[in-house]
Amino acid sequence: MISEQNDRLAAEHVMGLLDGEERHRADLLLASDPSFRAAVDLWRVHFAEFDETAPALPATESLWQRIETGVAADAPVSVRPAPARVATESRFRALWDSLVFWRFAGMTAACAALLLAIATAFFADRAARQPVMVAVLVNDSNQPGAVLSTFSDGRAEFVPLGGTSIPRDHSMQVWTFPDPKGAPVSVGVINAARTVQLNLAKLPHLQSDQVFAISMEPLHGSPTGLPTGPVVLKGTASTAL
Amino acid sequence: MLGVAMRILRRRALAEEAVHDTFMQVWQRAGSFDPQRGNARTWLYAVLRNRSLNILRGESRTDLVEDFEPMGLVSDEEGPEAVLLRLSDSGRLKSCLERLEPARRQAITLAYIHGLTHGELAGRLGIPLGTVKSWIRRSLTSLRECLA
Repeated sequence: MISEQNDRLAAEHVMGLLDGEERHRADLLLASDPSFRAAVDLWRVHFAEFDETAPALPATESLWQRIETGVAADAPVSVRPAPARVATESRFRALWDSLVFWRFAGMTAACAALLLAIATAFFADRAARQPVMVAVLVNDSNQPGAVLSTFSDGRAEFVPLGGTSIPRDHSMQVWTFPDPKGAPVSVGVINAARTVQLNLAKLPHLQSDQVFAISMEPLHGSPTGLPTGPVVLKGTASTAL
Repeated sequence: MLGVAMRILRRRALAEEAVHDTFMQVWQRAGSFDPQRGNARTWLYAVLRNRSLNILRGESRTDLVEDFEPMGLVSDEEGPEAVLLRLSDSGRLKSCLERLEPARRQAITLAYIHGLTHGELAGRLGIPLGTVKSWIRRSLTSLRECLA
């Protein structure tokens, strides 16, 4: 476990705020301490949300050209040609001995690996955004009050709809019934009527038609671990197409 | 990517330089990319930010006079609150920042998106340097708890 001080150092390193001695210390920790590197990575992920808000500026043609030229110049095509071979040696052998060939192959493989990694991350990200199950929660008069979407990575998103409000000094608590005949399990406490991320990873696998219910509870949720207030919204999960 | 670099470097030519250098570095160091350590996009951003900050800090050291830009330039860029509004509702950063006092979350936002130093933040926000430092520290501690 990383100390609070080092975690703060990791955050300030990611923000680019360090100088002098602290910067030096962060560099040392980066080189020597895996838990510090992990903390840096985590802060990068958190703060990357800021980067997503940057305006999208298309790169100019000249920028792409410079990048292409730079990459091409970097590939070691101009390395001295392999010495002339005696005629008996096969072309394959020449290729096998060629430093240029292997460097180029290595570079190409590295780039392919990177592209694959980027593409995988991109598509995994897309897939994770696609809900697996959706539950529309309705109130007593059958008016929809909230939508709950669950995702393949165990996240769930609770989106209250217009008209849903939480009285002062109260919270709403989300419950589900993993076992239709069993007790409800709390999924999360909601203090304000706005979109909230919930975590379902600890629950058993979601079933179609699993019941979700929202009860009104004292501030910060039920003191007993079971619903104590009235159920205000209720609905069952269906598989999203 | 260009947008991220522009917010730090403010000038198109410098931002393009940073993006160019980032691609070169990524090309050369593709082998050092470790998918275990996070996704490729975050890694790209990290390389880009690093390069941009180096250009920013390097430039202001070498041609300080020529590069000096009065605070007036601030007006044509997006303010920190506007950036906060554009943060994704589904991410946790937004809700955690919302728990901080407005001035403190602005300090964090400005520091990150424009790469401001403690000193520049103090100047921009009109508060003493020591206060900026302790604001940032305490905000990071509470962000840490909230994001955990």
